[in-house]
Amino acid sequence: MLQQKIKIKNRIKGETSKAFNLSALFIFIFLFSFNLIHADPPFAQPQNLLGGYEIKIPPFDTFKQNEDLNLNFHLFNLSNGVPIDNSSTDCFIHLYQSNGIQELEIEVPHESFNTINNEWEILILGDNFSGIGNYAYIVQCNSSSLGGFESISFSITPSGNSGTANIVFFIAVIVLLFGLNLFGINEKNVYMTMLSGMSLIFLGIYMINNGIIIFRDSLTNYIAYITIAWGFISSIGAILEES
Amino acid sequence: MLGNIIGGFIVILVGVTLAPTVANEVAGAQLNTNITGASSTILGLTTLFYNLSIASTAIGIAAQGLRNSGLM
Repeated sequence: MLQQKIKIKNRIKGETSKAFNLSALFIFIFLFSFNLIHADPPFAQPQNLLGGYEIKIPPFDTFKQNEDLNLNFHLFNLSNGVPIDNSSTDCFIHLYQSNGIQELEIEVPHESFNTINNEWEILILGDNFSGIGNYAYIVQCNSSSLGGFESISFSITPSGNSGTANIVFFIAVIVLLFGLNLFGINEKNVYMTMLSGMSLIFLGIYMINNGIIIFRDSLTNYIAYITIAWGFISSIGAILEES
Repeated sequence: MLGNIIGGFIVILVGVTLAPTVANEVAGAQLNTNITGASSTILGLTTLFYNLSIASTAIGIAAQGLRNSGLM
């Protein structure tokens, strides 16, 4: 009788455990299926239905501060993919700052000498990118019967670089140089302290020139000055202490 | 003593090799529109600070040599 009771108890335990496992599996699949589910937008894009122009722009998203930007793009007929030149079509570019102020509005010329590449190209001077941050531009092209537009956002950074990889690399360099310097001071290794100190001087100048990844303002300049001073003081201090 | 001379020589060699790069970077930084006036002047002295660091290595080695030989 007792054995039978134990068997029943074990069976109930096993079934409960199975039910728990199944529930956990169901929840797990349910949660992760959120990423896999993708609904189509409720409305199809009108340009796909009506035809028009398709504008293809090289997908660069970060540019260097104060550097001229050579913007180029290709224009195609959306319905048959035929490249479009300037015989019947005009293209304009509108450049905006992050606060919505329009910085530039200009017609984009078509490269008439280069019929193979069929390129629309314009040089935007670096003066238009003096501020760091987000910008956007709209390219619009239209003929008497067809048209199209493309809007692109991009970032202006002091170095022209952005992204996690750059940030990690820069932080690693800073930590390495300061670490070597402090290690040299702690271990009373004069030459390691001097070499790392001189490297810190260079790092400081680099930070003044290129900022810290995507930032360059009075704060980054201040940090750069501190870095230069620290490099100089540790170098001189190490040799004075040694001799 | 020999270790110090070799170490100092390496520091001087690396420092002198990189000195033109530092000078170029400083010149580039001075062209930066954000830095003007006294800040720009002090920034221009960075090349001097860098070269002083290199020079102090040589001076340090010489002073240490003189001290070891009893002349100082």
